[in-house]
Amino acid sequence: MPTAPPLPPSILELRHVSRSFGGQAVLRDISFDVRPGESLVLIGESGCGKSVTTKLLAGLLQPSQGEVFWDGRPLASRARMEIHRDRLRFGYLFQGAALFDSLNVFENIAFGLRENTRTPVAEIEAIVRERLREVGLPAETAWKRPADLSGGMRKRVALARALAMSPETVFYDEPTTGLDPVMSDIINELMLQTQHSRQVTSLIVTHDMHTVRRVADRVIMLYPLARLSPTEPQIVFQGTTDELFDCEDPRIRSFVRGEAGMRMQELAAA
Amino acid sequence: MSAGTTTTHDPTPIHTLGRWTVDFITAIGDLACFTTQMLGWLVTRMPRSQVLWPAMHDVGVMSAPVVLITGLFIGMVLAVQSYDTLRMMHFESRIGSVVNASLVRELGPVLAATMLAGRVGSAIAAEIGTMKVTEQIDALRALGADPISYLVVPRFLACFLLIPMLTLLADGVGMFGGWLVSTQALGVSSFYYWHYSDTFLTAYDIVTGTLKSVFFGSAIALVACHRGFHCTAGAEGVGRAATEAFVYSFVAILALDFVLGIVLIHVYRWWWFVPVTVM
Repeated sequence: MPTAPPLPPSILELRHVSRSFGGQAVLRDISFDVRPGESLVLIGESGCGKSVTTKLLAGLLQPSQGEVFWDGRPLASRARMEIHRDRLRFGYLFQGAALFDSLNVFENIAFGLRENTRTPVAEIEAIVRERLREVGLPAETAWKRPADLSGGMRKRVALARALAMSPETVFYDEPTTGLDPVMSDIINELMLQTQHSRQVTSLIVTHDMHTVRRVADRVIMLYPLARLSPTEPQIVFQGTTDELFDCEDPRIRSFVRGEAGMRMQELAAA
Repeated sequence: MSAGTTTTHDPTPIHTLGRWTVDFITAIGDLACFTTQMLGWLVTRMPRSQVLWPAMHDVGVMSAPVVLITGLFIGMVLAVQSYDTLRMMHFESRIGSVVNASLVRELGPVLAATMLAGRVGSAIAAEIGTMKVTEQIDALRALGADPISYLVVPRFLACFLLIPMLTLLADGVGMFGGWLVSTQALGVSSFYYWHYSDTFLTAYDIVTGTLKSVFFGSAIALVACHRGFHCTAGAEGVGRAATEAFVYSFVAILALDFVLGIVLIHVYRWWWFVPVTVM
């Protein structure tokens, strides 16, 4: 009987990771991995620790307990310069775009190249023009400041910046939050194009079910610690999109369907 | 009280004092670590000119007008306040020495630094604090830049190099202001104004005043950047960071002025073999 092919080794992994901020626990004993080439979506209610999880994986935060692994090696065992060098393999699209206010769009997109490479100026200009084209922005956008851009344009510039160094893995933190439905779908489409054209691994944090349906290969749902018993796992779901929408767990059903009924009962009882 | 039970009490003044002490020592230690990291980056990687020149422009060029006004009024007020007392002793012709020595040794460096702590320090803390709450500092790290190297080193260099120059500017304009009021309004002879200035104001005074401003500038940059990096969320957090940057910088300026004053007096006495009489 033919056996299933072995799963590729994970490129990112959390093992028994917990994280607290000032005594307030946000993550408790989280373990999962990210496989090369997949589009993994993290969902969950606001404040359940999705963004914290992403930053832990990207090495922007350190866990209070547990370990983060890159390519099978723990982050804690790496030298600072090695972490710095390896982190350049990641692109990060922040929730609020996080564009540098004092720089124009061109300088934002070129930032990583200027800080970390000796790429000639002419080549940097060509790369910036190409990234702007990829995200559907005209070349004239390059000389504008972030304050002059709409929300959707800022997100696209931030995506262009995240892709400028040709990363292997891209983190998207709530990429469609605050955008209208049409712009949200444009961002979804750009994420798909990026994954397919560049063969990147994507880790997407969202609570937009439309994004989940469109881009997810695998979904993980986190639940707020405050509403879990001490023994319940914080990851309440891990599987495909179809499994997510067919799941019978009332917590998952109410989240996926956007139904406040169960939550309203909890708030009334509190 | 049964074993294993704990009771909570309202914190007593001793508890509060203890917590403040621990918090203060922790903050000093954190600032020391922050400073060490900054110095490490300073000697290993100089900032690009595209980053350094704007910082120098903000600190130096944009602060010049307010420093000029500050210095001018310091000199004029010193002249006005000193004249009557000197006149009682028939020493009004020596007003130049009083005004200019006070200006160069103390008031110029301290008041210029205080003004710059408010203007430059608060702006730095607000800018970096805003970057922190909008995840721009995380974005720097994600793009391969060290936030201390990119944000702190240029501002430190700008303050370290330019605040002494601004202090000298304030001193010069203050001398002019003192001369203007003394000679034009108070009737002091211009000749004697500069003669007694020259007699009592030494190169050592100018050097020590400038040296103090180097320390003041460094303190302003480090405290302001440190407050920005530790900014809490929201507009309130940014506002608090800017306020703390000024207040803590001001306290640091006063403390450094006191310590440096003692040290420099001893250096002077040791260098010129003046016998120690006090302190």
